[in-house]
Amino acid sequence: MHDNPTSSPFGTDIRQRGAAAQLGIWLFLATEILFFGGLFTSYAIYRIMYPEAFTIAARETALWLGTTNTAILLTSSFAIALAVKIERSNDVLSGRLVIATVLFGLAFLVIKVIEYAIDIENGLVPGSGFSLAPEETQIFWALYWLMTGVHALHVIAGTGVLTAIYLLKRSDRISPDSASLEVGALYWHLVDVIWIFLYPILYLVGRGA
Amino acid sequence: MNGTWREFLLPEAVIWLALLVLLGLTLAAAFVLSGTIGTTANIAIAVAKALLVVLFFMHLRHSSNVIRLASILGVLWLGLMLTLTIADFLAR
Repeated sequence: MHDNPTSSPFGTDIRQRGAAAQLGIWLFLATEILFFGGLFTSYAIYRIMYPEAFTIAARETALWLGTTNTAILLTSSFAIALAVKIERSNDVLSGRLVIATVLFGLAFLVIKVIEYAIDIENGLVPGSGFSLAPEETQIFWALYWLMTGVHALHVIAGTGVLTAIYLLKRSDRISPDSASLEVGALYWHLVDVIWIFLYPILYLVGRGA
Repeated sequence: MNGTWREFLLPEAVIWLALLVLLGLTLAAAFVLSGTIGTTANIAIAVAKALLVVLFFMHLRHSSNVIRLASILGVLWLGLMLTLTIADFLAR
C-alpha cells in the first residue's frame, strides 16, 4: 500500500482521501450492523414465541465471564480511542495503546474459549446430549453459539487488523498521514458496540427475583 | 507527557468510567428487575452505552454530515428490518 497521491482513485488531497476512507468504513459498518441485525431479529422473534424457554435457557450462560468480557471490550475501546487521539503527537505511546487493545482482544478470546468449554461440559450444545428442557431452550442456545461465535470471528479479524496496522506503521510502510489506524479503530469500536447489545440479551435474561 | 496527562486522558477516561458505571447498573437491574420492565431497562442501558461509544469514541459528534448520515442509515435499516419482521410475525 503506497500513499502516492497520484495513484489513488479517490483524489489527490490527503484530507479528501482520509474523508473517503472514513465514509467507506462507516458504510462497511452499516453492512455489519445489518449482518448482525439478522441474528438479533431472529432472537427477537424466537424470544417472543418462547419467553419461558428463553428464560430457562439464558440462566445457564456464564454471567461473570460474560460480564468480565464486556468490561474488557469497553476498556479496549477506551485504549484504541486514546491511541487514535495521540497518533500524530506521540506515535510511540499510540503504538503501545494499539498493542494494549490487541492484548485486550486476545484476553476476550481466551475467556470465550474457557466459557465455551464450560458450556460444552454443561451439555449446552443443541442436538443430542442437550441438557435442558423444554425443547425450545435449544433455540436460545443455537442463537448463543451462532451470535457469540460470529462475534468472536469479528474480534479475531479486528485483532488481526490492528496488529497489521501496528506492524506496518512501525516499519514505516504506512505514511503517518494515513487514516488506517482511525479506520481500524472504528471497526474495533463496532465490535464493542455489537457485544454491548449481545451481553444483555444473552447474559442478563432470567436473573431477576 | 508532563502536565498533559489530563489533556491526554480526558474526555475519554470519563466516557470509559461512565461505560463501566452503566455496566454495573445493567447488572444490578438484571437482578432487581424482571420481565418486560427488566428487558426494556437493559436494552435502554445498552443503547446508552452504544451512544457513548459511537458519539465519543467513534467521534460521530464531530463528524461531517455525510458520515452521520451513513451511520444513521445503518441503524435505520436495522430498525426497519426489526419492526417489519416483528410486525409481520405478530400479525399472523
